[in-house]
Amino acid sequence: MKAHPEDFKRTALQELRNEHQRSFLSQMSALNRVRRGQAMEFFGDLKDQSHVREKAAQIKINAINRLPDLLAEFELNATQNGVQVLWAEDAAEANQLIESLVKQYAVKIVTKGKSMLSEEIDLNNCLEDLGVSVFEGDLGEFIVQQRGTPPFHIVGPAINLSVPEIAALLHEKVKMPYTEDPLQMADFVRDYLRQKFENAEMGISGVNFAIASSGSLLLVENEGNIRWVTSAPRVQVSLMSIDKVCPTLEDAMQLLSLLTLNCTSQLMTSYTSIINGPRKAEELDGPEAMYVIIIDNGRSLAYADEECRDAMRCIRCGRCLWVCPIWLRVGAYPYGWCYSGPLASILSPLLLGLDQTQDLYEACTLCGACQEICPVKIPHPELIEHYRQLKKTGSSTFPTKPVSLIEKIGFRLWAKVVLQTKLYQKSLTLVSTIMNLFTRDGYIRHLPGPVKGWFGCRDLPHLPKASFHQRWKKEWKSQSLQAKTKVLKNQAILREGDSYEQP
Amino acid sequence: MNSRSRIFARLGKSPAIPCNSIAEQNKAIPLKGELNLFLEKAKGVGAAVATAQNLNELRSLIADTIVANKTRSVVITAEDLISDLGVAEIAGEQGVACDICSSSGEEYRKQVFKADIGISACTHAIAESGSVVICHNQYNRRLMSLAPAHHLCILKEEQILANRFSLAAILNEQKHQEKFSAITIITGVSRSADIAQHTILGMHGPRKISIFVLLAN
Repeated sequence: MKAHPEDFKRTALQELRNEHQRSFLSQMSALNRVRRGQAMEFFGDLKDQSHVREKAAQIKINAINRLPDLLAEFELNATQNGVQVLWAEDAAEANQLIESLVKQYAVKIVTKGKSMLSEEIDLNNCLEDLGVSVFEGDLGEFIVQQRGTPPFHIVGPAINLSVPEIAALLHEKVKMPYTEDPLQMADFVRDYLRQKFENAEMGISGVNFAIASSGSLLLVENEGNIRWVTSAPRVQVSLMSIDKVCPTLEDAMQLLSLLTLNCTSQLMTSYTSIINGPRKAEELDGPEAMYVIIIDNGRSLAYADEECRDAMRCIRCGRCLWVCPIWLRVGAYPYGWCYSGPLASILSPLLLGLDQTQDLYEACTLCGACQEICPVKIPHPELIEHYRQLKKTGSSTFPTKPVSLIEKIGFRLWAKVVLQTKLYQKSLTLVSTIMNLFTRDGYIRHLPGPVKGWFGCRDLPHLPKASFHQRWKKEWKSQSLQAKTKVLKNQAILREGDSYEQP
Repeated sequence: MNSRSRIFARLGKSPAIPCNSIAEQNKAIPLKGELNLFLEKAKGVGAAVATAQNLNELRSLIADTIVANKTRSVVITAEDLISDLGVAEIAGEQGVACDICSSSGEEYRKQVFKADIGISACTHAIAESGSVVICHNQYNRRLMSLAPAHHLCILKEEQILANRFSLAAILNEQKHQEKFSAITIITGVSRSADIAQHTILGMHGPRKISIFVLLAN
């Protein structure tokens, strides 16, 4: 999937007109809040839940801080288990590695488990260019694959589509006899994909947690597609980003329940697979060869900036999306990639650069709702503020386009003015006088120049002649000493028995 | 310098900080789980559960299941418990074809793909979530609990663990050469809500799971 987050504003404007989607997301958000809230009660009351989240955050912080050691430990143990560990610096190298495996094993059919990393590196297009038939195994991913759109939500990729929309799509693309019965539709897809699962030569999966101490992969799912892609084909390839490594199985189990409770309100999903390696000599199923491709794709660069490391804590539960006021209004498509919502705002800038993704982190209102519910306590607003600052200052890790000369001069002037009280007050008077020239019917609705955009969606009431400070000063002066004392006592500024003295 | 070296060069060295693993904090975890909690949770996630006092009762439960589901073919794992139960004979008595899947390669796959019921034992169960844990090896193969539309799992009461941390503690004890190639924790049936939030049971895995517990006494 080619990333185009630079189209955020244009696409967001289009999506805002989709009233059906906005209303649906709003209802789903309310439902999600109740369901996930109840699910988290497994850990006890809010205080207990906070304790569990704190513990999970510590596990992730610890894992990220020790990333080089843990990756080396994972590689060593996985290799001992018979897994071949490959490394890719970027998407192109990851795709090249998979291409060479496809050629080596003469692969014609690939089945896939849901993997955001595979979307990130645009793997499907790469495989199709090689003439390989690729089938997404997850029902939601299968639907969006037919539609050619990015996943709408990390957990429910096709959650925004209605039953008739999905029915029409499957009828057109995979010749499903038209039906609007979800059970019949699912039955059709089950049979359709069953043939592919049985005949695929290669299965590709993502990784939820990679356990350093044992070299194992831990994968969670509800449908069974991941079990198929890791059991039936001759070759298994699992894609993991460097931040998926976790010290021990106990740590993974702690994170696992937080992931699944926040994803789908389940303590355990239908299937949790712990994969240690390929089949052994005496076994009849499971892959003969197993590869883990550890993909960096910009993460190690971001790792150099200690503040950015917080973004690498994410366990991809997708809960933050359901509380984000921006995502709930514009949906996923404006984010222009496989990640959307707060997840995109903190992750995409690290992977795609601060310039291309500027609108994503600029769109954030810094309300902090995502941080409030994040199971690993990622400080989203702090990260986003950090990106905004980096965008202005630039850094060796994140080179950015220099700020325009006009903006630079504007901010320098502004800094000078606000530091001098009298100059600041005079400029306020001047600016308000100019602005009031544009008043129509008691409101300022449009202004030319650099603030035109700001007034595009906001109105200001006619500005009063005197500022609040000026009015306060004038009225305060006119009050008697007794009146001033009474006011200050009421405000609890003066204690009983004290009186106001004129400075 | 290859890609691996370049990635590690950018990551630098890990700081010398103590390992903050929660493993230490969980040393006192209970291993044994409660039967009633397991049964309640397993039912809650959509499994059909039943208990048997002895092997004969268990045999009757299996026979009833085979008959009730109009089964045409059954595949069974080559585990000791399944052999001791004589599942192949039970199926034979009901006139149902039963494969132990001892054949290799394509023949084995054909048998598994066409089977209506897959009958297996399991290694552990988890009470807090109602899950069964299958450690795959040459006896309990990966596809046998996945491909058939109905998975019937036999469990001994003493195999029930308290929680997921109990399982982690046991798996951690395994030495490298004893490791299973894969372990699957099964919690209810395969499901999906990807079509407009409609719950669909039996997406790509079994549509039904039955768990029969052989009581300890």
